[in-house]
Amino acid sequence: MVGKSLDRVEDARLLAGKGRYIADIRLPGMREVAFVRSAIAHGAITRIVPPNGLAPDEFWTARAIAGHALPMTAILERDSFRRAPYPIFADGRVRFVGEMIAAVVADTRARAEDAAERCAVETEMLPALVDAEAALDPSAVRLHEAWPDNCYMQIERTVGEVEAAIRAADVSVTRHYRMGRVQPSPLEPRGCIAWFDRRADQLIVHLSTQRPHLIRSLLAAQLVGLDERRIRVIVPDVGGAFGGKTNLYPEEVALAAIALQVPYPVRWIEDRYEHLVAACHAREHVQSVALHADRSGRILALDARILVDGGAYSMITSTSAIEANMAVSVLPGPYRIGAYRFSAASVCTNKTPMGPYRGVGRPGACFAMERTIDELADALGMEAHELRQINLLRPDEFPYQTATGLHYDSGNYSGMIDSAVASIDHAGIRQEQASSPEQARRRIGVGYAAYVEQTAHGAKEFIARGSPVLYGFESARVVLDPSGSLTIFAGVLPQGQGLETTLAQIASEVTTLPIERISIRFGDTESCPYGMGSVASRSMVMAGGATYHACQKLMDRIRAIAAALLKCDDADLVVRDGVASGPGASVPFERIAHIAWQHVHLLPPGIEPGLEFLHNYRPEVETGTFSSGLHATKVAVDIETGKVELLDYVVVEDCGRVINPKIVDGQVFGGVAQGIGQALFESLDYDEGGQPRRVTLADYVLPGFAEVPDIRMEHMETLSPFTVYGMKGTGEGGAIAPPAAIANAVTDALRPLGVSVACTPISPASLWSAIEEARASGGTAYTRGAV
Amino acid sequence: MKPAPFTYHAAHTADEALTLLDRLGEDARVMAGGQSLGPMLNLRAARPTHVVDISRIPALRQWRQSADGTLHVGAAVSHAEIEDAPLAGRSGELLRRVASGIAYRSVRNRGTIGGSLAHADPAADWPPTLCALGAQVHVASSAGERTIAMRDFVQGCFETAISSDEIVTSVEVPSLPGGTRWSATKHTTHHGGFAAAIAICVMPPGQPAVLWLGAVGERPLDLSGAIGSLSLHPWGTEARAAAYAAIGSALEPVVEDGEHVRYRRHLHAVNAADAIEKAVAP
Amino acid sequence: MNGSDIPPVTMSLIVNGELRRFEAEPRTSLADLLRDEMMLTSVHLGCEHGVCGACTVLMDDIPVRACITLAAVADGRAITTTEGLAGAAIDCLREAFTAEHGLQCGFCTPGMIVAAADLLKRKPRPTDAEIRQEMSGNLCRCTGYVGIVKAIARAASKLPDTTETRRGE
Repeated sequence: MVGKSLDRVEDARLLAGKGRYIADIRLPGMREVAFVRSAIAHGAITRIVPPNGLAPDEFWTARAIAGHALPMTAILERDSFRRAPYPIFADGRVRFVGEMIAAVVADTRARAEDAAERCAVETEMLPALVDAEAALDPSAVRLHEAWPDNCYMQIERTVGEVEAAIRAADVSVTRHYRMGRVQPSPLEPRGCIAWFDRRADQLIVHLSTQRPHLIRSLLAAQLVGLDERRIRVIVPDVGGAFGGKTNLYPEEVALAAIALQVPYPVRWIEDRYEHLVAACHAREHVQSVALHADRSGRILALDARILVDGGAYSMITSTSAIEANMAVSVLPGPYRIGAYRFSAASVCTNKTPMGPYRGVGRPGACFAMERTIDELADALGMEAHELRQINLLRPDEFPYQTATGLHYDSGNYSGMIDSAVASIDHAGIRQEQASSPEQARRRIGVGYAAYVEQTAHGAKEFIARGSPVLYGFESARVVLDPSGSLTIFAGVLPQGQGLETTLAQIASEVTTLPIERISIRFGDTESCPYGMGSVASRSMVMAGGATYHACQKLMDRIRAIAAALLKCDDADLVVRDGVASGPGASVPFERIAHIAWQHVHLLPPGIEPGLEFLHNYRPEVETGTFSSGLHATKVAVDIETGKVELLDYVVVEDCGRVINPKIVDGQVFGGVAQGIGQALFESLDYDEGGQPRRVTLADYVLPGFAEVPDIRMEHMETLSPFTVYGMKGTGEGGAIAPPAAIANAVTDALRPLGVSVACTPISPASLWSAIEEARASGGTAYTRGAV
Repeated sequence: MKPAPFTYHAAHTADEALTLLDRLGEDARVMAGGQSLGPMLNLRAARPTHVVDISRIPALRQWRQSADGTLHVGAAVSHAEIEDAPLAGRSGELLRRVASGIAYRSVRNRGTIGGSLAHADPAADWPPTLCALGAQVHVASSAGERTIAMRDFVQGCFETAISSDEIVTSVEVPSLPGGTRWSATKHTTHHGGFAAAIAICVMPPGQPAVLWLGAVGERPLDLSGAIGSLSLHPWGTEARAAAYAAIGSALEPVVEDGEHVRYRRHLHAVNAADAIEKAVAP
Repeated sequence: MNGSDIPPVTMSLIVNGELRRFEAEPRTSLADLLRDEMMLTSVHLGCEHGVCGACTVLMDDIPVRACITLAAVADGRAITTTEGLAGAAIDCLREAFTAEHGLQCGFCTPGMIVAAADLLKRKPRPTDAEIRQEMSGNLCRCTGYVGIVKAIARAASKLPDTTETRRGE
């Protein structure tokens, strides 16, 4: 079972249109919520005039929920971290367009919107901070009044002899980059239904989220006087998330607070405008990176400063510091870098709060590092892939501890680059470039980007980050019911990753039961064991590990019962297809289950009734297992229009032992498409007054069929020594490298014209403007700005 | 994202629609395919009190081609119907090509030619195309019918020559002489997205080339004069450079200032030069 | 103006083969009518402004975006949602979507199936480039489209080529 491209068991119902998402749930008496949101970026609320004609239970503000719900205060247990309590409803001050001010309840969403429109919010405008660098200016207005500046957190560190290495270097390149603000933007927006179940004395929250149990814990912390046992979170099918549905959101707390005070269910289904302004944003880096190397290309030191625009508040649990801290931690990537100096600052501005998005920090780090590798190669007169080969860690160097203390378990990075260079036909592209006319309008280029991705890390790693919640384990409870069929209850929560299939594959492998006799259940805090949810590329390794061990426990008992029934030794048992056979006879699981549950008098002495086992999997090595990948792309740039076309895209992927190759491919393809979006199209930019300029999907362009090329995959399987089957996580990897690989390819194409890509998205206008600038100056021009 | 309340009226004949418009006055909004109005309603960017649906009026749903090749396309004929129609002649081919490049198929299935004209989005495909083809727009009100030359139809950004009690009934597109060469070029950042530049070039044999631009300024732009004195044959680097320069200077006063103004001016000129190249190149 | 002051519109639709009569606020979209009144929840709302394509349904056998089509506009017409799609071509498409891993979270999937079925009806043997052009009105945030393109090509290869018969019609 393990290693097979099994068809997904999820598909049939989804293809029939029978998926059940949050907006598909109808409860008797349910009413709809629309929010009044701030139309200005920064200001003091002087008066809120409620819409006329509403009953007291139809209009909610900060005042109405005071005493029921607390502002959300994200914490990072680090000295330099500053807390920025995120109000459920703005109280006195608004700090970004889209911030919640009030909620309206009505019988339909349309009527709730009608009423929300009639709510007058009077404000006094304050200057808006829309640029992270400007926000650091001492004269800038303070967003959070008690702070001495506008920084959530600043960190800096020097590892190794950086100054000596810089002095010893033959070549040094320093570059400055900007990576645009984007968001996960799953196709299904967020949504929440809350109601109070009088019989169970429980608040029931139906929610589109990635982490049911953790949201329950977090909700309990926000809701005054409500123990966790009195909250039940139920998660239906989730229409994509990519990090955007991990944090606890104020809308969710608001609905819970309202539901505790009204006798009917309340529902809020987010629309796309709300999603673009109020669901978490991500990335938005300002970077300075220097690489110092000797003549042969050996990197001696890395020096970097990364500034991230963290938006107006810190979200629970990611915090606004997650992006910058992660980026500097992973910047050295797959390279052998002994001397590393970094600083990172997370800055607050009048923008939507920052959260996690597939890759967290790594796409930005990869962009900074891989772009600079190419710039260094150019300075050295080398091919960039040759420079990479010199500096990539070799297979015999593992385990390897990076300058920032990450413990790489295994990898074959040099094998990946060789494979990519061959697959993209590097030599052929160089020939094509050489033979194309000097004045050609269409320029071809090739670019590479490598990354290493920490996955399935445990408690130790999260302690190091200062996280108040440790993603230290994952759970699975397996039940072989009296009919002999198997149900697995898991603490993770899939949003398209196919875990119903892959966890069943592992269970099938261990139990020998066919997939058809295995069900996987997720997303109900009442039935599933506590788990940390699906984030950080951890589900397959952690929940797979939990499933594996829970099934092993189950098999131990099955074997014990079978051996007793068959009067043989365990060593003589052969278990196949759900039947245990001894030397003379055999017994099917159905019979064993029947005895274990319903005819306990037939159980051998000393064996406990029932066939139900929980395993909480905590990795023995808690520093994670490191997946890796190398992306190569061939692009064409029309230098007259600035338009970039992706001609070829190759991914060499190594996530250790693959459980289901088809599903891994799908994860990578989807990640690459999102990376292409970031590279070429997506940008949540704001005007000078802090008004978001992308408020529909016509403005915020998600890449479509015509923008994403066919993607060619090559798998390598370098097993992890630390995990079940040698698995490594893979959910995020695909999204990490595309901005870097595409930027490198575009730069390769335009190098003869003196253009170097320094920002995402790589818009046609920014490219053309740089081409013109280089032409005029005769030197190098770096692309600037966003769209 | 739900519309503000409005009253809906389905008109079954053009007369019924005109009577309704007469009665409802400025508070009414005509809806044909609703592919622009629909999103605007949902976003509450449009808040009419009344919506008059003309999409099912049989007379507006027809197209025909007369013996001389002139095309008469009803206002409520969809882009997809034009894309799929067996329209004969060079102008028919151009209409089909342009139709097939509008947004996405499921939008083209509902969006109509008349609706697009009446909406007058500066980035729309039909206005410059129909200008280049010398089309006439037939409009009607309860007071009677009139015909407006396409080149006079669009007056500005989302502004047309028709008044609130009038509807577009059909578009009349003259046939082009055999051997006419044409091209339509469009620059979008992504497939099906709003146009950043549109150029339509029509070259009837022995007659001056016609060049219209779209998505530039507030209304379609006639640049036939700007390239009128140029020698386009033989086409090559020099001819192209001359065309680019001529178009570029004609665009100077038209392309509004703002972000990337030089790029936008250049893009229109390149896109227009591409259109000429496609029309000229054998 | 208050929405409740406005008289409702009545309409008759054939939904997945069944004649139904509805009364609704005039502003009600076809998508909301199908979802709320008929529980046809395959009609997904991803953007509600006609960009993402997740709400695509057939109206008189052609794909339309149900989020920007008023329910009243569908009066007297036949509507088919993913729940009501059937036949050899649909079976073939569904099989191919599974075989080629053309879906992950499944939210865009019903719209994809509707659009793909229409594409194969109009162009029984599309090239990959044609699939990408024709399907470009439907967004997917999970698959990177690779599996969907392969699925449609696979379904096409297994269905009879009706190009010639269509031409002869």
